[in-house]
Amino acid sequence: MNTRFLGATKILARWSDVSPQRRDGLFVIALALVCFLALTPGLSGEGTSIPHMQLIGLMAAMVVAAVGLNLVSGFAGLISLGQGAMYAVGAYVFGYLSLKGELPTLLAVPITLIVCAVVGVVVALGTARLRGPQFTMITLVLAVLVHKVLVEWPELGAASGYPNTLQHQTGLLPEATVLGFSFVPPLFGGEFASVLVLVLVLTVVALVLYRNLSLSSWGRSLRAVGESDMLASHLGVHVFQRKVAALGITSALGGLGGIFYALLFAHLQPESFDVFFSITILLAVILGGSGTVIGPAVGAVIVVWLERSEVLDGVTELQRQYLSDQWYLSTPGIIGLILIAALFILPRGVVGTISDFAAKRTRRNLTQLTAPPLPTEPLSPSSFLAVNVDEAETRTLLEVAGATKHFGGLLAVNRVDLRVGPGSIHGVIGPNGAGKSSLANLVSGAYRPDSGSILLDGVDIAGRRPDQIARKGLARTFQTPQLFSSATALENVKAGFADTGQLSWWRAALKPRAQYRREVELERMATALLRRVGLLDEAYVLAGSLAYGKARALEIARALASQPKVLILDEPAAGLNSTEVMELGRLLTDLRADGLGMILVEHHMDLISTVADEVTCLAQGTVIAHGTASDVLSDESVMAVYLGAADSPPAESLTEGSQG
Amino acid sequence: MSLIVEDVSSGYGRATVIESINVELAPGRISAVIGSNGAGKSTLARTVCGLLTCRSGSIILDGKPVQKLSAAQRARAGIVMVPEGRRLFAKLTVAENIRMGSYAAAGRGKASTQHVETLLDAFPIIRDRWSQRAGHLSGGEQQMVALTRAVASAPKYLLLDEPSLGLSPKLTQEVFRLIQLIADETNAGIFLIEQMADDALGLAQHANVLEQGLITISGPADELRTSPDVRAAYLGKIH
Amino acid sequence: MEIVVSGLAAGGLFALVAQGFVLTFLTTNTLNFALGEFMVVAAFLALAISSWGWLPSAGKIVFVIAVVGVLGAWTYRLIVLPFSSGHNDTRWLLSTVGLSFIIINMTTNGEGVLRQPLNYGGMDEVVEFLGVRLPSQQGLIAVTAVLVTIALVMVTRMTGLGTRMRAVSEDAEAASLMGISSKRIGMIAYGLAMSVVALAGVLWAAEVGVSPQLGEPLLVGAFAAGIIGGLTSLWGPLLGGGIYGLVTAAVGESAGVMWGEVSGLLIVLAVLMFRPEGLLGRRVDVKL
Repeated sequence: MNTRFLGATKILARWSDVSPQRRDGLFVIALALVCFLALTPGLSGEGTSIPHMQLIGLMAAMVVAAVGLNLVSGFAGLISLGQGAMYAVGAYVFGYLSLKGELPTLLAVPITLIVCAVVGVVVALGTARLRGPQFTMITLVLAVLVHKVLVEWPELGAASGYPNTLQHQTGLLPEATVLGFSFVPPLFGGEFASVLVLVLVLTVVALVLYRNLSLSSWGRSLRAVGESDMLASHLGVHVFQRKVAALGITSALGGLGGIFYALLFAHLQPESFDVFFSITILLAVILGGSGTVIGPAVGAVIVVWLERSEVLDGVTELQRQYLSDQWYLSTPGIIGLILIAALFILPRGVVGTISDFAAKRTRRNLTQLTAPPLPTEPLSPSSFLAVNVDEAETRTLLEVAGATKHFGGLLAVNRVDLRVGPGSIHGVIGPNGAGKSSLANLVSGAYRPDSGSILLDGVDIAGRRPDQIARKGLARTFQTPQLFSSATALENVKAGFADTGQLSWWRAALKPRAQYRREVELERMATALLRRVGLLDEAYVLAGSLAYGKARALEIARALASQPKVLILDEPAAGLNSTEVMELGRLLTDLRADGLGMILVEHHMDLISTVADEVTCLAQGTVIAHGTASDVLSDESVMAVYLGAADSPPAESLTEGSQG
Repeated sequence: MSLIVEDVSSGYGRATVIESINVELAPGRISAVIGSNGAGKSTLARTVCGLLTCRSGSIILDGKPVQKLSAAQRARAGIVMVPEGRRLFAKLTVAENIRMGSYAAAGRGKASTQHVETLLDAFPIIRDRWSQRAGHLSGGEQQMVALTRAVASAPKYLLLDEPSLGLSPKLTQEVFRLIQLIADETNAGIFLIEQMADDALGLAQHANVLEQGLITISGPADELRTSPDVRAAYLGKIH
Repeated sequence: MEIVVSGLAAGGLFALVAQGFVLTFLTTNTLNFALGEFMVVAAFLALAISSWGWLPSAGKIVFVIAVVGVLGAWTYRLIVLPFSSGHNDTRWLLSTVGLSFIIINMTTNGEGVLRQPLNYGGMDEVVEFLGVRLPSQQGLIAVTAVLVTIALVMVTRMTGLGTRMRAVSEDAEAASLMGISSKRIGMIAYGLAMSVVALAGVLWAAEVGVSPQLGEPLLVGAFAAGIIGGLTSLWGPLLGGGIYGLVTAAVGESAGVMWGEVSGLLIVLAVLMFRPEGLLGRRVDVKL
C-alpha cells in the first residue's frame, strides 16, 4: 500500500468508524448548513435581490427533479425525456388546487404529489415491458403532449399563463399558508422571501429520503435493472413492479420540483415547460454524474447557475467581441455545447469522475482498517445454506423430468431428465448448440419450458418467473459475470440478498431503526461471504477492476447470498488460467461439503472430471450419456459428438439438388 | 508469402481467452485448428480477421503487419472469414449475397469471377436458388452460398469458422468437398476451424489443437488422426 | 373532403422530412434529432445564394442539397458515431439534441426571428384538387414525398450502394467481413437523409419563408410519421404521414386544434406501446 496515501486512509479509517446512523445524521446537518448559508444573504437584508432568491429556489426545484430522474435514468437505465412534463404537471395541479380548489397548502402538496405519482405509474404500466429506446421515445412524446396541452387548454389560461387577470381575476397564485403562517414568495425586492424556508425544508426532506432509497437494497435493485432485466429478475426482483414503483417516485419528485416553481413564481407560463426544459433536467443528471447518489444534485445546481447567472451572458459577450457580432452562441446554444462536451469529456459526470479518481488512488484494504464489527466466532458456513447436511441422503434438491423447449422450429431441449441431490455437483457437458445453456435457462426461469416438470426441493417451478424461482432457493451465475462494475465487491455481494427484491420502498426511504440493524447484518453476512470465496482483501475494490478469476468468485459470492439450495454455474471456468481453475475447483468442493447442490455447465473437462459427482452429456438437446465423469468421458457416443465419427457413410450429394 | 500469426493473445473484456498463439498458413494449404468448444477457436478466428483486436503479438500478411487494420480493411487486403453460423444477409437474395462478397475483391478480383463460376458449375444447387432470399435456404445450402460469397472476395487466406456447425454428417462431407475445390481452384490458404476433429483432419494437411486458449499439439494431420493426445485434449486425461 | 386533402398535404410534408429519420435509423440504428435544424440551415443557405444569378434556381437547390448532405455525413462521423457504441448506447440522442440547440441558437442570434421570403423554389399558384383549393406548393411537397420515396426504394433495391446499405442494416459485422465499412455506409446514409431533409427545407421555406423556427414545428409531425409507419421501412413515412395528417386535420376540425394534435400524438403512443416497430416496420427479434 502506497505510504503517500496512508494519510488519506487514516481519514477513511475514521470515516468507517462512524456508524451509519451518525453518517446519515451528518448528511442532514451538512444539508441544513448549505441551506442556511444559501439563505443568509437574504436574512441579513443585503442581497435580497429577487433574482438571487429565485435562483436559490430554482436550484432547489431542479435538484429535486434531477435526483428523482436519476432513480429511473441513472440507476435503472431508462432514459426519460419527460421529467419536465412531470414538473409541469406538478406546478399546474398545485396551482389549480390552490387557486380554484382553494385547498390549504398542507393538502394541496400531498395531493399533487399523489397525482404525479399516479401519472408516472400509468405511464410505467404502459411502457415497462418495452426496451430502452422505445421508452425514451414515449417519454419524449409525453413531454410534447403535455406542453401542447398546457399551451392550448383554455381552462388553464393557455398562452396567457395561469393564473391570468382576464380569466381568473388575478395574476398570482395565493400564498402558501401553513397553520396560519403565510410564506411570502420572492416578488418584492429587499424583503426576505419566507417561502424559501418552506422550499428548502422540503428539499432537505426529499434529499434524505432519496439518499436512503439509493443506498438501500431497493436502490440496489434499480441498479440491477440498469445492468439487465434478466439479472435483476434472477436476483429476486419483480422487474415490472419495480419499474412501476420507481417511475411513480420519480414522477412525484419531478412534481415536487414543479410545486416549488409554483410557490416561487406564483404564476405559470407554459413556455417554461417545453422539451428543452426536460432536456436540461437530464443534462443536470448527466453533468453531475448519472448513477451516482449526489451527482445529479450537484449537476442541478451547476445547470441552474449556468442558466440564470450572468456567466453565460459573459461568454456570449466575449464571442461577440472577439469572434463575430452576428454569429454567436447565447445561453441555449452554449448549453447544447456543454451537453456534447460533457458526453465526450465527462461521461461519468463531475461527481462520477471525481469518485472514480478517488477510488483509483485510495484502494482501501479491509485488514488495515477497523472494519465494521465482525462476529467473534466465525459464522459457520452451513448457517448460510438451507440444507441440513444430516438429511442429505434422502432428499432430491432438484428434479428435472422431460423438460422440452422449442425455439420456432428448432428443438433446443428434448425431454431432458436431470437430478441434483444435496452436497453434490452435477456436470453438464456437450458441444456447441447442445442445449446446455437452454437447459440452465429453463431451470432458472429465463425460459418457459414447453413441457416437462421441474421440481425444486419438491416445489414445482416450471414456467415461473426467475425472481419467484430465486425466492424458492435457486441461484445462478452467468457466462459473463454481470456485476456492478463501479460498485465495490461488498456492494455487489449485498445485491444478492433477498432484501434486493423484497424491501419495500417506503421502508427503504424512511429507514426505521430495524433497517439500520438489518444493514449491519447484511454487511456482516456479505463480509463473511467474501471471506468464503477468498475475496476478503478485495472487499472495497471496485468490481470493474477485479481480475477475471476474482470477478467470477464475486459472482459466486453474490449467488450464495440468497442462501440457495441449488446453484447453477454457467461455464465458470471460461477465461480462467489453470491456477484460477484449480481454485475454482476447490471452492466448488468446499461448497459441496456444506450441502449445496450444484449444476456445473462446463467445457473444461479436467474441472469436470475433478469435481463432478455425475455428468450428463447433451447433444442437440437430447441426453446421450449419463453417469460418472470417467464413464461419460470415455463413452463412444460422447466422443463421436465431440470429435466426429471416424467413418462416415458416403454423402448424399447436394449437387443433385436434393433437400439439405 | 504466407499468413503468420505470431505470439497473439486476445480476449473479451478482462478475460484473456487465447494466449501466445503461433500458427502459419501457406497459400494452397489447408491447416486445421481443432479443439473443444470453449477452447478459443472462434476467438482466434475473430482476432485474425479483425473483428477482435489482439492484445499482443502480430498478424503478418505476406510480409506486412495487419493487426492494426479493421476487419473491413483486412478483408480488402485478402483475409476473408466465413463466420460461425454463416451469417448470410437473410433478406437479400442469393445473388445479392454473393455480389456483396465481391466488394472486398476490389482491385484484385479478376480471377475470382472465374472461380465463382467454377463453384457454381460444380454445385448447381446455388444457381437453382439464385433469386431466392437467403433466409429461406436450408443450412447446407446457406453454407454453400457463404463459401461462394467468400470466394467472390478473392481471398488470399480464408478463415472458415466451424463450417460443419448444425449440419448432418452427410452435408458436412458435401461442404468439405466444396472447400477442397476452393483450395484447388483459388490457391488460397485455408484455416479450417472445427470442432469435429475427424472430418477436419481428413481434409487438412496440417493441424493445430487448441486447448483452453493454448496450442498444445501441432503437426501433420495424418499423425494427429491417430493420436490419443487429441482425444485427451477434448475430453480430458483418462482417469 | 377539404379536411382529407389538407390533411394529406400536411402529411406529405411530414413524410418527406420523416425519410430523414428512416434512412438513418434503417442503416445505423440512430437518428438525427437536429433534423429540423438541418432544414433551417438549408433554407438559410438557399437564401444566401439567392443572389447567385449565374446559377439557375434548380442548380441552387442542387447546391444546397449537396452541401447539407455533406454536413449530414460529417454529423454522423463526429456527433453520432462516437456515441453509438453498442445496442444500449443511446447517448447519440443527447448529442444530436445538443447539436439542435446549437444550430437553432446560432441562427436565431445571427438572423433574427423574422421570416424572410425565399424567392425561388416555390410555386405561387393555388390549385384545385378534387374540388378543394390547395396551395400548389403543398401539393408539390406531397408529390415530392412520394417521388423521393420511390427513388429511395429503387436505389436500395437496385443499386450496389443500396444493397450495401441493406446489408449493413441487417448485420453490420458480417458486412465488415466483406470489406464494407459500416462507418462509410453510415456517413452515406446520413448524407442522403440530410439531402432529403434539405430539399424539404427549401420547398417549405419557399412557402412560409426562411426563419430559425422553420423546422421545429415540423419535428413532432415528422417523428410521428416515422414512428407510425415504422422507422425501418422506407414506405413507412408515406403511410405514417398520411395517417397522422388525416387524424390531426379531422379531429382538429371538429374539436379544436389542440385536440387534433393531441389525438395525433395519442396514435403515436398507441403504436409505440402495441406495435413498437411501426405499421410497416420489421419485427425486432428479442435475443436473450
